[in-house]
Amino acid sequence: MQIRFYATLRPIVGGRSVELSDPPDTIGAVLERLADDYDGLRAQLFDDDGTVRRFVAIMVDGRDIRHVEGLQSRVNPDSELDIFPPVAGGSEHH
Amino acid sequence: MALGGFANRVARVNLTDRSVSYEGINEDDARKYIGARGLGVKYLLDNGADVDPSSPDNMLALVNGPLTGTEVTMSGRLAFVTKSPLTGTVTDSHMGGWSAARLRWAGFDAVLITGKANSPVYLEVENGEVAIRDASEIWGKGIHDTVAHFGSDSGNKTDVSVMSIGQAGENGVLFASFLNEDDRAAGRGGTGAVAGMKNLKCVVVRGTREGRWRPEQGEKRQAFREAQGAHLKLIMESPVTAPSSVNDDGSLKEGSGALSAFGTNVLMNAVNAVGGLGTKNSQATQTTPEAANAVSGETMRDDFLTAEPTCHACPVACKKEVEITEGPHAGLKMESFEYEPAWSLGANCGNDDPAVIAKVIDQCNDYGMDAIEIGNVISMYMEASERGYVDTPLDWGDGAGMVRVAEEMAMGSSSIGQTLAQGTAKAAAAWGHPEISMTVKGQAVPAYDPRGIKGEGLGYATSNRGACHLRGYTPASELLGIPVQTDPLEWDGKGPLLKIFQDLHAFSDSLDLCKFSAFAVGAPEYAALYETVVGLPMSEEDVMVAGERIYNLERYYNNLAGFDGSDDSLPERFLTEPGSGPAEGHVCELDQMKEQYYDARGWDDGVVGEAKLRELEIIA
Repeated sequence: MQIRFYATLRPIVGGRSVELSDPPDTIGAVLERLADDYDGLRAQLFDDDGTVRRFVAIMVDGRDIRHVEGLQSRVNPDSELDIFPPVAGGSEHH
Repeated sequence: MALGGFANRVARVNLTDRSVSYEGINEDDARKYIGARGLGVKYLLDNGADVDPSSPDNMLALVNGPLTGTEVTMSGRLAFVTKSPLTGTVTDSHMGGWSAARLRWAGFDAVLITGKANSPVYLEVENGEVAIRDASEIWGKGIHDTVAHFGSDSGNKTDVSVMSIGQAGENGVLFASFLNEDDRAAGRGGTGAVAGMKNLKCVVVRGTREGRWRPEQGEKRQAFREAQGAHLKLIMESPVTAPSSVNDDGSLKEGSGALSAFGTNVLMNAVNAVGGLGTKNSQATQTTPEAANAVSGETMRDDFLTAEPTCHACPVACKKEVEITEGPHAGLKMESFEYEPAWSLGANCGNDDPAVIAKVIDQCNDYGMDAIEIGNVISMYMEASERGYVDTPLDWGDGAGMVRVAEEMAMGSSSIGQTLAQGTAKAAAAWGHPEISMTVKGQAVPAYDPRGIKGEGLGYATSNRGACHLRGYTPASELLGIPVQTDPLEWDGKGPLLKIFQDLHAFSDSLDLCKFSAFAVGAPEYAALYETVVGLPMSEEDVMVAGERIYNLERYYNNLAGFDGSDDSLPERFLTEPGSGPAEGHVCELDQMKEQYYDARGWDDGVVGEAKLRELEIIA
């Protein structure tokens, strides 16, 4: 499975994308694997309680997981995964 | 005058009889319409909504807001307000850089220009006076040469700023723009065309920080410092606007904000990923990840970045200066490789060569043209070519051809160039195929396809200045969850949501604060800054009411000019041809959204009625 990263996340994973072999079948489990594999990535993706940070966008086949089944969204080896840090969002202060 | 922030000085310039007169700010208008955009539209309304935009009677108003040029972060903005020759609506277009602050430091809130000079002129503004000067030496020059002629530069090293048109404005290109400091544009709506029709080349402003507004000593000063401090703190801490910095090896330091690090073009990959990136004149809504990445902010930073200049009072520095080092455009150094033109000249034209995009943007910055409109008019020409509608075709992705027709438009040096110079809508109509014109009210669409990001479809349709993403930036909600997360593929609820964005932006455009402030702050900060600078009470609710009043004032102007709900439309393509990628199977449900929107606005088929006008104190 190929996962594409953008902006400030690229230096953390060392490139534009990473390959994950034998990927799990939910996005939550995929993110856990990635967070274990790359130093500093967990803090960029998750709050302390394990929820995805508010302005981080995780997309499976172009759909933000917040609009489907969240971390339980199903994935397969052919899924297109894109992970963005906050690229045009703001603070909690609105 | 009791209102803080204002210089209380407005110049009225009549170029026909070469007279200049001065007056103060109308306090009642300033209370109701805040400044910049709002006050500018009021000046236009008072000048008559039925004026022919190409006639000498049309007004070109350069209007600051009460915060312009103060110490407030992101306060370096100026509104150009006029009746657009491209759309026939009232339009306002804002520029960053230093000219706005310098105009205020030179002692002015506004310069209102009418008439037509019998030979080329420019305005010289200094120490509270405006002089009309002969421009025969600079007429015919590009903007870069004009800026250099007056000894200005692209930063803050001199006390001179030049706001100029290029050859496009002189030659009647209907989407001609004004630029200052070489690369910062008031890009949309044809403000430069109006100047060209008046034989006005540029406005040269001399001013130093000594002329800025400063709070009185004591409690008022303390209150201002607290409001500005809170505003700045949020900008410095936002994951988007926090200033970027680099380690010794050139890598970005942790905590660098995405907008600061990569510029507006950090959006390229994100919008493409959701299926919102119009491709080949919006025949599709997604290009390949490789093509998007090739022209993205990430690639610009990695491969082309040379400098990161900023505007007055802004630590974000979203401007990215790049240099092309290989190929036919090697040696080109330019600024403003923004998301919008990277899209309009990129995926929209089937082009993934960043050097071509940089070259055409620089042509726009020198000839003075709207870089959104030019990408659309070229992509429309490419589709016309593909379909066999024109005799001299231009292929998708033909970079050399794009550079050539951009010059031909600006200089009027070919038949095709002259046709395209009338803008996307008129050119497509001239060829008998208006259906390939991606425009609303005559102005071309920006970089968010309404099938993949549906709120923007409603935003384009109901924008008072023709298709525009900056009137109500719903992608903040649809992509990032501000103020609430909404699904970009869902239409329900987008009407009331858009109204909130439109009203909030109308207020900040009238302060005049950079719109990117909205990534970090909102109505509470705007209210506190207004209160402590202007000295009038302002609550969060008041902010939204003032914004609503300004939006309705614009709509009232347009209604008087003959526009109604039938003009709040979208190109048929967005309504009937489904998108691609994540937007596959989706069209834009405009009618449903419009119904919700008009209900929220209290409008009758796009027309603001007398009761609403009275409620908002627009009429007595």
